[in-house]
Amino acid sequence: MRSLRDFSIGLLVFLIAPAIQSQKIDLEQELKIAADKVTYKNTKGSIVYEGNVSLTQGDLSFQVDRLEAQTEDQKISYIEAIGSPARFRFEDQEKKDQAITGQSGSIGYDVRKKILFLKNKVIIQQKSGAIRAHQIVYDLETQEATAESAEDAGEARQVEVILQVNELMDR
Amino acid sequence: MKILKWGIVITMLAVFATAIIFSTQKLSGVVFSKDPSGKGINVSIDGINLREFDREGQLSYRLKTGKATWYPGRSLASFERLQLSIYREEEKEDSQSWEIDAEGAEIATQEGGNALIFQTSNLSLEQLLSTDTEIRLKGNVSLLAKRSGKTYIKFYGQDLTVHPKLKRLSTDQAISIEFKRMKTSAFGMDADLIEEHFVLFGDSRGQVETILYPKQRAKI
Repeated sequence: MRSLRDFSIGLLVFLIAPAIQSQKIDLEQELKIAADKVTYKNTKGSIVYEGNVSLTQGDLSFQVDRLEAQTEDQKISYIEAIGSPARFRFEDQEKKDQAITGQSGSIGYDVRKKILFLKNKVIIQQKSGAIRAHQIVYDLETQEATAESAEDAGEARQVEVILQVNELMDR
Repeated sequence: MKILKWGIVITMLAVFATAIIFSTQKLSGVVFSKDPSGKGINVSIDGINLREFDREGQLSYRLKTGKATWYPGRSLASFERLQLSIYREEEKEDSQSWEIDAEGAEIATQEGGNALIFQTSNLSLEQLLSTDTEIRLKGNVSLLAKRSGKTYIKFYGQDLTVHPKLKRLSTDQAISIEFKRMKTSAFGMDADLIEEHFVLFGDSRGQVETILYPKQRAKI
């Protein structure tokens, strides 16, 4: 079980890392968020976006139902987004066929540490394959991803990897 | 009978004098006119340029307007081209200075109030703005809120309702806010500037959109 898990993690890194490496996310670009309703609570340092929420920053985009941003020292420090499901996409405009899309119950983004937390029924898809897991943590700086399975009501749910061999062979 | 006779004469003289005064279109820069609804006599002046100081001699208000008109029959005062500055001592906890600029404004006055109390020499902004008075700003509006002499939030929009005492703003029209490093556009807003609690709405015209600028493009 553990060796299969480690293998799955390795495959995940193999699948995702080259694609994302070629699509370095520019986190210095302006961040745009649109929603049906926005509530600022400056005393609590939070901004809540509700209803058809979309977030874009360069090649990165989210589509979620609700997004809450925490601020510290006048900067956004953490973003928590939920959806049914929450969807995301990395797409280099010059390499659209290598876009990475995914969905999960929630997306967390630690802006300072540049780490993405994808939780609850996570699916990541790319032309070369797909990964399903309970949780995936992706470090945008080191470009390392860790996938975790879940045990629910006694039933173990493994990390699942689907490979499109033809696509892998073409690389 | 004699008393009744004199009473009638005096009343007719008073009516006659009032008719002469109010039929004159201009009197020392003040214009009187009948309200089309038939309710009362409206009073207009060409403009206001007023500074008001507190008891310590510190400037607390500055008001500059174009034509100002009072409609006592409708309990309303309207102003063309309003510029209002509200200054507050920095030491006070909720101190905020405001600078307001609008193409026009309306203020609800006391019901049945005497329009003549708004003659420039008698106008008290402290008195007016310390009550539950709302100011309806018309046309293109800008409101800058400042602390320690620095602007910390800017509002730009159309038709903004302002409650100076409670530091509240609201609109159901297009509004744009620059706050910290964010610029937000919406189509409706309720804002509490003391609590710094803002709710913004989208509608059929579009969503609320926030743009967060990178560090090197800080707006405020």
